[in-house]
Amino acid sequence: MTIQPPARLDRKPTLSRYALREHGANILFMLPAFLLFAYVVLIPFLQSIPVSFTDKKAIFASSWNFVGMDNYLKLLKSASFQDSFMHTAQFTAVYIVGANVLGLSLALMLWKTGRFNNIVRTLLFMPFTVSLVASTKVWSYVYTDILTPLTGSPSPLGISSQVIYGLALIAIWRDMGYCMLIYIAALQSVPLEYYEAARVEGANAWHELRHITVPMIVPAFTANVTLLLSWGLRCFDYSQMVINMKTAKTTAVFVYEYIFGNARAGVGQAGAIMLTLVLVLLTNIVTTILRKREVEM
Amino acid sequence: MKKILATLLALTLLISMVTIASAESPVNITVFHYMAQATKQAGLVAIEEAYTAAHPNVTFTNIYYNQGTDYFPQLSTALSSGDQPNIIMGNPGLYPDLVTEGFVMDLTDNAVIKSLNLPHGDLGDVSAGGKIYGFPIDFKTWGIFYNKTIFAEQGLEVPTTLTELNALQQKLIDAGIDPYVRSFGDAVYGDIEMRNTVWPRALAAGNNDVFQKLMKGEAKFTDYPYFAEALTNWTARMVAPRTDDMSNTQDMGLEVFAAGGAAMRYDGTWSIGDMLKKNPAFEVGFFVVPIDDNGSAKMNVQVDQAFMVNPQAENSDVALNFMEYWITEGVAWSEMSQMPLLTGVTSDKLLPLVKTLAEIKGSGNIAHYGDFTKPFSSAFTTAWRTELTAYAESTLTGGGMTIDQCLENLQKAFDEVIALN
Repeated sequence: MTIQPPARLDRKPTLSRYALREHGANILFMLPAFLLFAYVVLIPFLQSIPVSFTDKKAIFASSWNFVGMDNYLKLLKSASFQDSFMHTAQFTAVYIVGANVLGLSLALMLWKTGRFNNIVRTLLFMPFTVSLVASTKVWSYVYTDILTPLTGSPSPLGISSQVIYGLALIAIWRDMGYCMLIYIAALQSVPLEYYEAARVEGANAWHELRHITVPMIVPAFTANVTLLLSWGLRCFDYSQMVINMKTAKTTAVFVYEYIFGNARAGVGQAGAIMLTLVLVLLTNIVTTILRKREVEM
Repeated sequence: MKKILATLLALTLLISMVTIASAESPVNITVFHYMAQATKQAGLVAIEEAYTAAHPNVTFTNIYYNQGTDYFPQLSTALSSGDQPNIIMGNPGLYPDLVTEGFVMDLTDNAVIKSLNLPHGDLGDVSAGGKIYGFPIDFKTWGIFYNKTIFAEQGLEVPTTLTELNALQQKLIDAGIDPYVRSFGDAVYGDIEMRNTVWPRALAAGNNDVFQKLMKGEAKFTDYPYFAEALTNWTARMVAPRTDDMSNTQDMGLEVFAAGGAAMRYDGTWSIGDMLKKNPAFEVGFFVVPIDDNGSAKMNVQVDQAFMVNPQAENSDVALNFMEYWITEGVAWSEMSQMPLLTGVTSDKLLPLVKTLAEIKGSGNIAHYGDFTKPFSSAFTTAWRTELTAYAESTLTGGGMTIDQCLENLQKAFDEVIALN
């Protein structure tokens, strides 16, 4: 007796004419952006992978030798590379939590449309338009010229144990307005009938937040957390502005330093690939977890 | 006959047109540099304008990047992409890959450099593997700049021994005056605080290869007692910490110093121009930091502005000619930047302080970086400076790092760079 596979698996997947037309249109819309992305990101990245298996020094070097996995093994043993990952993780954790908590809090206060709310939202979003380098520069003065005279404490950007938190604060200040806007969009899409029904059932504000608002805005969480996770793990500019502090050195800065400054392109490229793998892996895990919690409307 | 004449005439016209075109065809020279100070940038423009006045078809494009963060990365990117700069600031020892890959011209037989009869140290700073690859323009040194007004008000004399320096610091503290304003927000400052002790001691001990051995892993920091001595001397200067010591950049520190916020500042001569720009009435003096009570201190000398010519760039002959002009006719540069020229050529427009520095160098009682067999390369410089900044922070904020721990950290950082090489 033979076991028959389920009927559905027997069928070859076929696309209806309508689906084909639909997908074809989607692909055509996506194509220009994808080609640009492939040209400036994907292809250079793929081209650079072989470099990580060589002892190439300066990026302009004309000759190099194949060294197999040596660069990866060296980095796995390197204390400074491990430290840079730790600093990146610290920065990312504080940044994601801070920007999301503040962004959500602000969104809850400002989600209703009105003249005052619109002005405040614009003001809160404005730091997002400032470059990362300029933000750090401005905050270095805020720390030294405002906070130090007020508190009598030195700037956190000059203290090893505080510098990552000092940088994370700058990143939170800059990006919480962005998170706020995403949350506002999500909040505005929650049908008001749900709240009315809940109130009829005797729900209070906390119940509404916990059982209606939060579940309904999980897609916004997914978007914000995924984006900030990616930005945080790739943190470069903030860290580069306090390059003399070894406790502020992130993995992206380590990679940059080795590829360019130290003229060890092979080692640096191996670090870049390891960082990319971690980034892809973590982003996928977080996205998968959050997507499972999303509520269909 | 007519045909021959017509052909000859056409040829003559063609040749004259080509000659005119080549004589007057515009040439743009790109200068890649890391001169952060506004006065130096103005000096660069001044020397370029002087050259353009004599060669109207030559113009310049100056590209600046911060040496500590972007300079070499941006230079590497430019070279890789084929966007070749003509003139590259820096010395070949710091950027050895430029030599290996043929991006710098061999100047060993350059007649102009030879004619200047520069001492071994000056040429050593622009050499690699026994060959000259750069034009050395001027030199820098570092030490303590002091506010003459505060010194006069407090009745203080310039110290000549370590004991006198320590006593002077204490007098200032007792008078409620900050002895120093520091700028450890810039990594170079920990480095120069160490050099005053390390260089003269190493050269006196005949350890001209100390940096080379440390980079190869053939020696350790603890093998040379003067690294611990340098840290001890530096620690003694880290008295009366200020809240801005670790966060001040060079510019922020200069701002405070020029405004009279502290009596002294350990700095390099590259800051003189900007110091006086911030406060033209500022009465500032300079002294070489005593390293003991026996007068062993020597003024450190390192070639500051050094430039290499890229033979792979177009018009490298024009770039070479410009550098030959600068090294011989560099007064315009010196007057604007207040940097003392290696040739000894001086001007009435130079500050007395700058002239004094040139005289001390001329006396030969100096410790010259060019007398070491190899300078720290970029990776080791970063490791060295980062660890020294961490030591400064620990000392100034009561972190309690000992000198032995600092040496241990330096060794670990160097071992790591060696392992990743």
